Amino acid sequence: MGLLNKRTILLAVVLFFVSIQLFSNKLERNKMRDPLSEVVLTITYYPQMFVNYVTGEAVGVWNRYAALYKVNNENEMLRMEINKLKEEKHYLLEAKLQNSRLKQLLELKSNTSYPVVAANVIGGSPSSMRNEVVIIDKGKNEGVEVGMPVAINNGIVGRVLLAGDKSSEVMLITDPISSIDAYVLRNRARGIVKGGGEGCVMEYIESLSDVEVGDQIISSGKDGFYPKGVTVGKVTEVISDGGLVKALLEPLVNLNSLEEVVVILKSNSIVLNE
Amino acid sequence: MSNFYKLTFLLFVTFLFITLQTTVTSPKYLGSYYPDLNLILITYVSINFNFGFGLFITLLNGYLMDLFSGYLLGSFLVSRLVIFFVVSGSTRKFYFKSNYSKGSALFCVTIISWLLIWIISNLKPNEIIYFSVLDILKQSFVNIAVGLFLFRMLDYINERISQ
Repeated sequence: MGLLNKRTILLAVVLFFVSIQLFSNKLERNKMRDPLSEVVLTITYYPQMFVNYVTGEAVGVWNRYAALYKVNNENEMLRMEINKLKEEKHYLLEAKLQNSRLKQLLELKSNTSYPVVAANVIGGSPSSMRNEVVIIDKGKNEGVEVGMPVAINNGIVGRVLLAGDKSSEVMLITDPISSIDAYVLRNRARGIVKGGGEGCVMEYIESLSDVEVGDQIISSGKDGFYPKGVTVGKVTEVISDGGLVKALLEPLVNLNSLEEVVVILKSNSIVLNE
Repeated sequence: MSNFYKLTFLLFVTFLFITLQTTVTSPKYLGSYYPDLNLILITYVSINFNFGFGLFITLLNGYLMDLFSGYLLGSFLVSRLVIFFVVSGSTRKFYFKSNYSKGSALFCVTIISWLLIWIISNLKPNEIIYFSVLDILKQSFVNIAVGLFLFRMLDYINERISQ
């Protein structure tokens, strides 16, 4: 009779009634303070906070890594797309500029009474000693002959020096051996425009002629090479030269950045009377 | 047969260099920092080939330079010929094997070339040239840098052809 001895049974009954009493007290007075619970709660707060902090950080790092990886990939894709768009933009801009230049060339084509052929500049002089020369991609096969004038919409560029079957060499108007018989547009004062390396010089102008800075110079057509009325340049300075006057000219065309030009298919002929 | 291959090789290089010099390495695009490939080739030929080959290639190169520089024959033809005679004559006294000697040769030929062009242009009417001493010095150093590299390449190809 070990389990069921009187002392054991009595103890179990007493404990049962005590616990019932405590429980019923709790239910009746739910605001009753429980100091032991409070202490237990306080004591467990700090380790709980610590664990919560550590797990929160670990989860946060993982989440940030995953997000960064995704962002990095997205970033890379966007970067590639931007580069592609930049390249496209560059091509479109080039096409737009070329379109504008070609439109201007077409305008020149329709304005001149001579047939013309458009050409691209494909090379330059191999020496800095005489670099007033360009190579174009049209030659005899396209009707180009030696001496034919070359221009763009703004004015004269030069003339053909040498014509092969497929390409030609063009001497620019700034070449020292180039010369153009020309007029001052405003007052028809006549002179000869010669190349001077960087620009041109109009010489043999009568001192009485009223040449001013800003005057436009056009070809007279009397030299037999260039057609009449094509712009050569603009006067930038007027210098006295003994009994005559010299005018320094700036070509209206930027000869250092030629890309497309037009060859005017005009055969050489000297015009004596016009 | 080896001579045929050598001549073909030199002709190929001549036209390659003149094409490059009128396009990507033209002073139109590079300003005064352009390498004178034509001069480098003539110097190389003067040092490494016999008189016959050297003379022919020099004349051809001089002609091409004049042709593409405004089609006025004379300035480069004469100056390149003088360079050829000077350099090929110097090979009897100097041993152009080290980079130092080759670099010195390139420097000297650049200076001499411009000096000759200046003299010839002063003799020719209506010939105006535009360059400065600084431009010539810049080109000398560019010629040395590019020339030494090209000399190596040409040596390598020449050895292959000679075998």
